[in-house]
Amino acid sequence: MSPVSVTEIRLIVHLGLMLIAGMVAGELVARIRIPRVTGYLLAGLLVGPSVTGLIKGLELRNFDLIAQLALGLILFNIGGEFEAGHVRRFGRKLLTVTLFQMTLTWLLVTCAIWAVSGNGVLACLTGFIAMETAPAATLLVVKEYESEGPLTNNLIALVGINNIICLSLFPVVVALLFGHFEGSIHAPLTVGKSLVVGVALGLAVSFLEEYTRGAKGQLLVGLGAVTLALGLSYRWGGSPPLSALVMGMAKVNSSAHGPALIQKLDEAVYPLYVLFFVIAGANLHLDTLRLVGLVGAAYITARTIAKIAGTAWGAHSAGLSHLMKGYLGPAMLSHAGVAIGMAMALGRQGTNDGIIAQTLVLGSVVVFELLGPIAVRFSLVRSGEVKMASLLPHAPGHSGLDNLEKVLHQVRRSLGIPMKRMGPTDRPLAAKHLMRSNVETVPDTAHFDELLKIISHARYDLLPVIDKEGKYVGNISFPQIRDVIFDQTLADLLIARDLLDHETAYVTPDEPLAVVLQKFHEIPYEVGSLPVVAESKNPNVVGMIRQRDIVDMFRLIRSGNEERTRSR
Amino acid sequence: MKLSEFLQPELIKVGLEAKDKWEAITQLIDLMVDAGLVRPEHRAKILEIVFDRERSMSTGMERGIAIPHANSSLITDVVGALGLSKKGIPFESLDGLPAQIIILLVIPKDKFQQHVRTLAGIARLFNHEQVAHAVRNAENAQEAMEIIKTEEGKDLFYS
Repeated sequence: MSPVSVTEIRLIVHLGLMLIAGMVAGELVARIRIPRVTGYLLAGLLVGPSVTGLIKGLELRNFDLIAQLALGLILFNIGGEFEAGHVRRFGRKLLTVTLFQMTLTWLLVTCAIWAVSGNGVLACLTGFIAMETAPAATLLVVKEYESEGPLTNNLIALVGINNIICLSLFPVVVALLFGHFEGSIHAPLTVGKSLVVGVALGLAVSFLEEYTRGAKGQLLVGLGAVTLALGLSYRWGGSPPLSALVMGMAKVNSSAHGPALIQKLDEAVYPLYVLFFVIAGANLHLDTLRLVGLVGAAYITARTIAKIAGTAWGAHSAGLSHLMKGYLGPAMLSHAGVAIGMAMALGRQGTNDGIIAQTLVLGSVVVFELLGPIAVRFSLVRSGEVKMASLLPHAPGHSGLDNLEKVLHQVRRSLGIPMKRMGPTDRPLAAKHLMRSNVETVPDTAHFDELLKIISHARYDLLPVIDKEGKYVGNISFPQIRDVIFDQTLADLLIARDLLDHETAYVTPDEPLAVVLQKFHEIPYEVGSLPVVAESKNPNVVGMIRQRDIVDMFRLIRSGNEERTRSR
Repeated sequence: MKLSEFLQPELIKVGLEAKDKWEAITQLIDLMVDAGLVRPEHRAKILEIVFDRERSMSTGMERGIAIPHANSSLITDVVGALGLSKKGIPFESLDGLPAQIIILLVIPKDKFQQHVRTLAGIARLFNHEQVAHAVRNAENAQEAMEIIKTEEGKDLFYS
């Protein structure tokens, strides 16, 4: 066996360093309620050439393949959110929001850059790149906080649409602005090739999935397909990220199992995502940030205002709720991945404008990469789509001290040293910690047809009903009414109040989880969720809690306590 | 459950006269009280519940049929009463026509979801023009009862 070269040794060491540094930084920032993604980026910044130089600039190129693969996996994941039913229901509204947001972003950033630099080509180029919203950071924050709800669904869909448009139009825009008119004809071909690769492999995944048994087979198929999509797209002159995105869309809409494979893949490749962000952080050019000066400040300010205002305006025009108007915009601020790719492509043009645009974008991305995930977290939390327990810096029984104690306990045990009995951790959790506060209630006078519409897109199998003063009056459980709900004769006869469960089942915010779980068991029919009602003279619904979330939390607590209560 | 299983001739008023739906509903509840199916001391409360439900959304359907209903914990079995008016009583119906066949149902609170099918069956029964015409033109309560029993016996309206 030939000896391992110094370069290869450094590569292996760097991989380990990035994973551990990412993990430590992620946990540290989580304790101060910052998304772990920001921690991974900071870890990269720290070990990269901008700060310590532990990993040199040229050495970062060794990890380009990992970064490409991770981005492909993320876009495959996002594509998997584009289920046809959701697109049909919300497609027009989301396109309206996208149109307003992207147009205003392009306009404001272009005008701001033009005003400061006087360079029209630079302004148009950077205006275009400014439209991009980073899929990776956005998606990982959603997953970190287990966010669920209409804002989350719309956010992921908007990010997907945003990236499809940016990836498709970018080659055309560059070709036109740099006068490569042949390039503007080839650009649609690039898009076409990406679509063909994506659709073909998406369908192939759905087909092969039927032959797999269990998670391992699905992982092999999924990972193999994503790498093939990237490779074939590169080989054939397509856009690999666009191929991955389209592949996800094709897969989820052609498979009998929906997004199951994509979700399993997602869980298995998390270390790749961590590496992606550490690499991205290492690639951040702090020195470039210092160079961009006033132009950079104009880019950052104009893009921030345009994203927030444009999204709010678009949401208003599309008739979306006030929650969407207020919180979708900040959640669209992340700016990296694809924007960096576009900026690098501009730099490779070799023109002065291209190089300046690259510098400007790469410098500004530092700000958006670090603050973007925090803005996403802000939006998800404020919209009530995150359980409070997901915001805890660590699971109960899993604090730093708890974990250190566990390690010491195991060492003692292994050495045969007598140990004192450790009691279980005592951190009672209540319904308020696991509920999501963004809950859809039904007015008690809602007509049957309106009720059917709410049920068709409800996230829960039980709907809390309120009167005209907002007072909670009871529940409608889908399992109880599903036999009759499709009878059209009743459409003119019934309102929501007529279908209330005869026994009103709910929990209060401070009720311990054990009591809440007992309530679920006492209900004579199968129901997966209950409303959380603040009891007062006018009881009102403050959230919804899922039985599954309680069971998952107990499992987590038990795994911490089992270590602590084991004695000699 | 079919209408004929809980309706009796004592609970049918042919030639119902009322100036509006509130008066019509009151007369039908009085039939229930007189038949001993609703306690006199519960009359006012049940009236309030039915009126409240009617105020939320009118139960006047199309082609002169109205099915006011409500659920209450003051009764243990479903109770129904039928009013027939050739002239028709204003009921804020979907098609604006006055109601000529009014079926009032009071259902136990813990059984409402079970009786949703009963409601649907009754609506389908009277939506059938032949049935509605025959019942509307019944000379007396006994005749109306017979028509309903016969038609329901054909098993076409309930699922």
